[in-house]
Amino acid sequence: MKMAINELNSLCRSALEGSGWEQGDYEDAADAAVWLHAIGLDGMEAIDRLLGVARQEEYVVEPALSARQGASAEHTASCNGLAGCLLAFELAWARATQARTGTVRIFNALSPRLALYGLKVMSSRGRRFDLSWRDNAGRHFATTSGHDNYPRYLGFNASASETSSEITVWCGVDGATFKGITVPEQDVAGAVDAVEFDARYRDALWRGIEVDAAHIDRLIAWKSKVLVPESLASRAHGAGGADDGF
Amino acid sequence: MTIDEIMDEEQQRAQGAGEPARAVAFPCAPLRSPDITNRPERLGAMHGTRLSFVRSLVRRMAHDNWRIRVTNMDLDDNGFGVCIYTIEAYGERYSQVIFSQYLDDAERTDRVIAQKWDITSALICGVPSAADIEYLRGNVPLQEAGRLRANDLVLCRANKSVRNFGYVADCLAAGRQPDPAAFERVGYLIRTTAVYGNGKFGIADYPRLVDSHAFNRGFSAQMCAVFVLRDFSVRLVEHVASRRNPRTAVKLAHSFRRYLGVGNATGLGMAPFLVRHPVQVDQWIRARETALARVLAVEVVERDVFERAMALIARAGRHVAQVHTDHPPEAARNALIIGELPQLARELEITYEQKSMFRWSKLLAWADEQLSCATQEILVTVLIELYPGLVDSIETATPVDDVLTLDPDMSVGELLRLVERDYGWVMKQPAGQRDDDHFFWYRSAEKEEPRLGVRAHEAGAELEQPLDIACQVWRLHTKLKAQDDNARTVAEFVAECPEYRAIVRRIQTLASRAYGEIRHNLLAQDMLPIDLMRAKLSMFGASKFDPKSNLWVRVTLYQGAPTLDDLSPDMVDDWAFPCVPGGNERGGA
Repeated sequence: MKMAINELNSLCRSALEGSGWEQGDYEDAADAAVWLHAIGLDGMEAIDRLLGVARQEEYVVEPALSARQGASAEHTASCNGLAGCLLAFELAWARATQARTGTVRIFNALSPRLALYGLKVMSSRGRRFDLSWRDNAGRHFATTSGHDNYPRYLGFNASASETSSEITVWCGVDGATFKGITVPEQDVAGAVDAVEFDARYRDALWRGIEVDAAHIDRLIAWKSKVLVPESLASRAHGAGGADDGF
Repeated sequence: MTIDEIMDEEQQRAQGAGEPARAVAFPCAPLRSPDITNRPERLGAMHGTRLSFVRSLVRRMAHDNWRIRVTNMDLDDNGFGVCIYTIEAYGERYSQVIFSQYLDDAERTDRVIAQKWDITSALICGVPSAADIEYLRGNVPLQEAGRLRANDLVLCRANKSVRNFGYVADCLAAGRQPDPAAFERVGYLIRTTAVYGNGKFGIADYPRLVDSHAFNRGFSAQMCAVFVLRDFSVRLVEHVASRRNPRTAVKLAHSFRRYLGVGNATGLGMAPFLVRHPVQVDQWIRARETALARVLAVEVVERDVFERAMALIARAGRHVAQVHTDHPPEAARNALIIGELPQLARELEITYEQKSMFRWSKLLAWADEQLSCATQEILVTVLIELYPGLVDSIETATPVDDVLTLDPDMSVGELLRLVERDYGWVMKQPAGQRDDDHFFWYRSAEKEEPRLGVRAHEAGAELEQPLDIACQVWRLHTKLKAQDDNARTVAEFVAECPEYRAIVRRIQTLASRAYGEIRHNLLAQDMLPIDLMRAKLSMFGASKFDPKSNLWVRVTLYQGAPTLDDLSPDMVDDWAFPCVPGGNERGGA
């Protein structure tokens, strides 16, 4: 079925809310999934991975800050929210402000592809970010200079496929001497540049997004969990509106 | 109020071209504090101004030579069938397809849960083909149960005011004009019950309209659809009268055509919108306050402006006296306004005639001391009305990015200071007010209608919508004060406490948008949803506020607005506080 972007976004937010995600996280994840879907990267499959699952993501932020007590190495922390979307980039940004570069690794990422949206959000904020994520299709690479509306997806290396999902985000402030994430020179396929992302998104905006009926049904089922069941009292007193002949 | 030297610079846009023409600097008094403007009692007393969406849209229609005309009208003797309008502006072409159908009185309700309506309509891009019309015929009358397409911009519906519509049809069919008193009670023939845009049910997303010259302002497509429905309502009643008695039927007098607007029944859905779109709320209120500040900075008030102010105050009095409402608090407020407006006029006259220099700021300061906030807001509308040259260039609804963004670098200590700086109104609340969670907002499984429940008595509070901004801020403040490490970044804080992510980025984003928050606990027992609705409806340009309960309100849009025939570049834009005309001129047969 063809849907509008805002319509699908609203449905995704409610479904994620119904699945128990906090407001900030369900807003981010829905924005991410719908954007991915609009640019042809199966955002509905990405959101599926967040519905009804246990929170299991862990993250570590590097480098350790020497000013902190006992900070020779940062410890891996478990995340109660959604780390592998926008949060990973925000943590990397904050660490880069303190240490010129910041690297965030997410382990057991629930839906690693959502990180590409995090990169997109950071694309116009003036800092370079590199992103890599691993899923069962392979290892994916993307980057932004921080001065565009969209990131560049550099492609994926199918031979690096793994069953465990991992995300690495690197951020560098101007003048950072460290290199970001290294992209293998060979065996990387499927690159999409910023212009193509922009064109795909505009096309979705003008024509609507095709969404599989089974996905919609699943989203509606989760959404129904945030709707208060009908009752006569609710109907009579919960809202206004009537016809009095005028 | 002391006028300072704040200069409000803006890029004034060339009329109709939409491109920056020249930078204009206006002297500007200090803006009123959000502690004044964003309190519910003030929001609930607002009136439309010449900056309201319907006013600015009609100005653009007139000045930029929009061409709106009926291109197809196929209605039977009862007025059932289809009517198509074409809208041409800036080289763009749109159409509004309107379906009129029989509706049993028992099925007519203004609520979201309605299933059928007298009139349904879609505003679409381009000119519809026969296949398009068939598609729309199969979907538009179904409203939420239908599907629209990415070329469709607005979906809306309206019901007849049964008494007014039938009465006017009878009068016109009998060859006479209606009694003006009928329009004093209800100043419309139809009322809209929903006007959907921005992606609902498959229609175009708002970002798509950013490239549209005609409809790139927020809600302008929806407001245009209502404007067209207003014209259709008159054509429909004249058509019915004419078919009933072709030999004697007359057209509605032009003064009535101009006076009649479109009714609107608004429920709880508007309140969540205001909470979820604080950047837009800031834009709207800031625009209005900027306009007021420019007027307050005027140093010399010419006599003709003074006289116009006196006339507008008198007109406002007649307008309020013609508002009929069965809602006791609203009736009492209107009575208070009617009693206070002569005091305001007297004060204006006395102070203007004194030899010392008269300033609008002095009058507003006097009103602030002596009059109710309801009458003060009338004065605000009057003042803005006086100076089109100062205020009309202020855009209230240009596209705005209302994404809430987290600043990850900010330290927890800085965030705490920001909360205390911008949310003092939360901290200063008495504990009883702060902890009052009497209500909860929710969506019903019944067509997802937004509803309000009483927590102690009704089920569903565990599914409440997160509109409790004041409570969230208070909890965040408590949490921040308990932090050991104030140097920790906000990114680290929200990583550990994801439940605060949404409120933290809201606070950070609104740090430079002081008018974004409604400054009240929206769960408290003394919260009146109609106050929030009125704020938004005033921004739209609604008039004749008639609350039917604390949960919904009837208003009128475009009352007194120019008709399609009146639109021309030299149109006089003067329709604040519309009053019932005599209708003495004869309608043409």
